[in-house]
Amino acid sequence: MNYPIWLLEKLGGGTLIAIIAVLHVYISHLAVGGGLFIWLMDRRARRSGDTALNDFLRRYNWIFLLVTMVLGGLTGVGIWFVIGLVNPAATSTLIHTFVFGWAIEWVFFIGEITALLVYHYYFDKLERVLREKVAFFYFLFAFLSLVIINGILSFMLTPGKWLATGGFGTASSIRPISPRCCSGLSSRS
Amino acid sequence: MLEYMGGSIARTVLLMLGIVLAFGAVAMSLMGRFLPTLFHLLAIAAVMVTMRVLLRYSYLRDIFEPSSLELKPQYGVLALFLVILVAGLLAVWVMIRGVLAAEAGRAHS
Repeated sequence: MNYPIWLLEKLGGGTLIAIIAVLHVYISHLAVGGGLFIWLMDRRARRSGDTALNDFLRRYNWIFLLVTMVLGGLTGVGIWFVIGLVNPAATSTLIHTFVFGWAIEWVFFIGEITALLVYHYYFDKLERVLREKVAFFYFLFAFLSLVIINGILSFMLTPGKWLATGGFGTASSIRPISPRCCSGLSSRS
Repeated sequence: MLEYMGGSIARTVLLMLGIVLAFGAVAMSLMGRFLPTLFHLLAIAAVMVTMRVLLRYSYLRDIFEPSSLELKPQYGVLALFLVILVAGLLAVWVMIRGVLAAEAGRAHS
């Protein structure tokens, strides 16, 4: 199928994608590293009985929710919007090659969103051990979503045997995933 | 498009059903009845999905047939998705159960 071409003469489509994507990547890395930070600090506050740290977490998680969920969500959708305009055929390939990859990603997003909303709105109402568990779930889902998206991004950098086979299993490589997953963790912690 | 305007009884009925359900959803919501509104919306979504598939097939009939596509089953990744879906829903349930317990505790106190 042929799609119409959206030509950005001065800026270029790639630059427009980069403007939104770079912001989104910063936010998403903050979400992963910040999730680990919240979980560990919550654990520390409970074990040491540190009320100042508990108060800090109460204030911090509201800002964290706004930045990661609202701004992160908007820029995430923004990436889809702009790549769909700049290169519809490539976007279609990305969707069709990784149908279940995206489905898995959405399961992690649901877990991530549920955990952060529960953590924020029931911060003082949940039992402390359960709240710590919820913080851990947030970190776990955020990290796993990073792993999946890294696999898909790796495909765009190094499609590997996919060019010949076209299969899901051959479309991503584990090698590029590891360093970038670690950078997501280290960027905040 | 005439198929939906009397050319095909089944497709015309489907279109009419969608329109009736849409009016029904608006009426139910104005009456403040949540569950009937929700059921209307779910039924509309089902009708819309079916309409879209049928419309696409009839629109592309002369140039495209789904059977011309190459089929590549990916059962491994489907199984992985199903396992992750169940695990994810369990984790969500654990969190929701905690919220319900917190709400119940607040109601008692």
